[in-house]
Amino acid sequence: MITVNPDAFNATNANSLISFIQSEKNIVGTTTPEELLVFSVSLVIAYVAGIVAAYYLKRRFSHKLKKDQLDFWIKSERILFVIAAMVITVPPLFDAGLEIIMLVLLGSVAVFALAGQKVVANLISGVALRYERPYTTGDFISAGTTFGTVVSITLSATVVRDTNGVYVRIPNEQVYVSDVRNYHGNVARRYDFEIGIRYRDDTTEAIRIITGILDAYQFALKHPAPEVFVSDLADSSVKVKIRVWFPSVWANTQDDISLCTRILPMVKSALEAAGIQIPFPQRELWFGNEMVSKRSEC
Amino acid sequence: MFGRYEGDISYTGDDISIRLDRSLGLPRYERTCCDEMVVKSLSHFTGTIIINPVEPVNLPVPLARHLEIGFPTIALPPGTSQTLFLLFPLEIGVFLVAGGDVHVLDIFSLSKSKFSLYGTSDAGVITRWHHSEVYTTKPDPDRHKAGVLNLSIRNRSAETVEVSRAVFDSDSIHLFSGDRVEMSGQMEIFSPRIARTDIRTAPPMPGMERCIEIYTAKKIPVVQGKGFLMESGAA
Repeated sequence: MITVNPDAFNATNANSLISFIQSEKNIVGTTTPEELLVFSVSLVIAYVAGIVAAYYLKRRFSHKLKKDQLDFWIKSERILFVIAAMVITVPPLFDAGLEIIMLVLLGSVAVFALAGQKVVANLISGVALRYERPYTTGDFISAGTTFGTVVSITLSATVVRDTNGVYVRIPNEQVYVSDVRNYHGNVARRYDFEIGIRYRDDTTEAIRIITGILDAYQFALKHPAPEVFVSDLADSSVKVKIRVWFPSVWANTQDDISLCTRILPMVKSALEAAGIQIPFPQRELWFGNEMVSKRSEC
Repeated sequence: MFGRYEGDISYTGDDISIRLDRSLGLPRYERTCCDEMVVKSLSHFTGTIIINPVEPVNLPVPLARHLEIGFPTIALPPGTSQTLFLLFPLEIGVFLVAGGDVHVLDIFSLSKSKFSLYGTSDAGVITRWHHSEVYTTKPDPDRHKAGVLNLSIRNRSAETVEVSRAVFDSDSIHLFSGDRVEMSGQMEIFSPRIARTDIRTAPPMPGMERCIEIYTAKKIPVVQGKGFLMESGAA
């Protein structure tokens, strides 16, 4: 029940208002200095309790939850502590007058409306991203032209560490409207490679060698089985395509550098050891008429 | 090699060499296996070293939480049961027990690892894959390389089902060490697409000693007894 002290609004000028505020009992309305003190102390207690609870949550759940999930719960509990403190201590302060509260609210709305369109859009996108969860911290994603590992997801932005180690902050609105690829979203991913061999080389033997390498390579998944086949009879070479599945967690980058540095050198060495070569681009020229050269002697 | 060591360790096998010398100022642990050497110094160490087989899902990196054993296809008529023996790969854990804490000092393996995907890429799981022959009597493998799984398969469905693989959650794996390393599991087939697997907590043979699991040493809480639901078939 909110009771409004009419005396608080009978002050007709600034001096009488100030003298009323500085009166022995009331600050604004029926709010007393003790109530203000209780309000302030409770906020401090809520703040400290939030820190203590956050410390406990970190110790108890840091190995069970992902960092963004833990951050979310820590932020939530801290906000809850503050809200609880306000709910307990604020009702007496309502006597300060509904008009003041309404003014503050209207002012806040006005500030948001004028200056915070982008901020509001980012916040709404942040809520949508939290609901949809297209990625989580630790995932390797591409959003627009940015590639990198997600470091944190806040309500307003997604922070990514790109492959060069650069801190990139992408506003959530931008993430929400762009194509997002999560290279870590599924447990396995397929990689395609293409190798050219000479026309004179035995393609069956090349396929057998490559398949053997993939069978022996522990990170190339047994199922789905790798596929190795002739994909193209190109100008200078016979193209052999390799399709192989890997655990996404292991090959968690977009440029597949770990695969290129391990599989391709092994394939090249094994093919060369079997006498199968990767040819240079080449072209045979045929002339319709025999070229005749005359040599004049003096 | 498996067992508890209160004093120095000096073991040399065909492919493994393990040494622990406590006479040095800083006790020194050395392990050589599979072209790899690990050296660690232990500060003021007065505890116990335990070497035992562990669930084979930790090497070379802990990518998988499931063990998949592929074997030649077996057809089970409806309502029938079959008990068979399979081999599974082993990893060896070296634990340092001191001050009420169990610390994983080292993990190594003599068997090559291979990964696979059970199910679809969006809803499946990455498994540590191993192929085994099917044995009707208990085989006698190298106890440092492979263990024996006593698998009871029961077809509860109304049709004949072909089975060629079994997937186990690593959290449910309980290994026991004796003359061999063993575990006993069960597979209940509810339909050609759905089966449930689990590993029993009781030792397969009386007198076998239960091994320390990695998840126990790392204090990772696990829900026991839930097994694994194979929803992408057992064929």
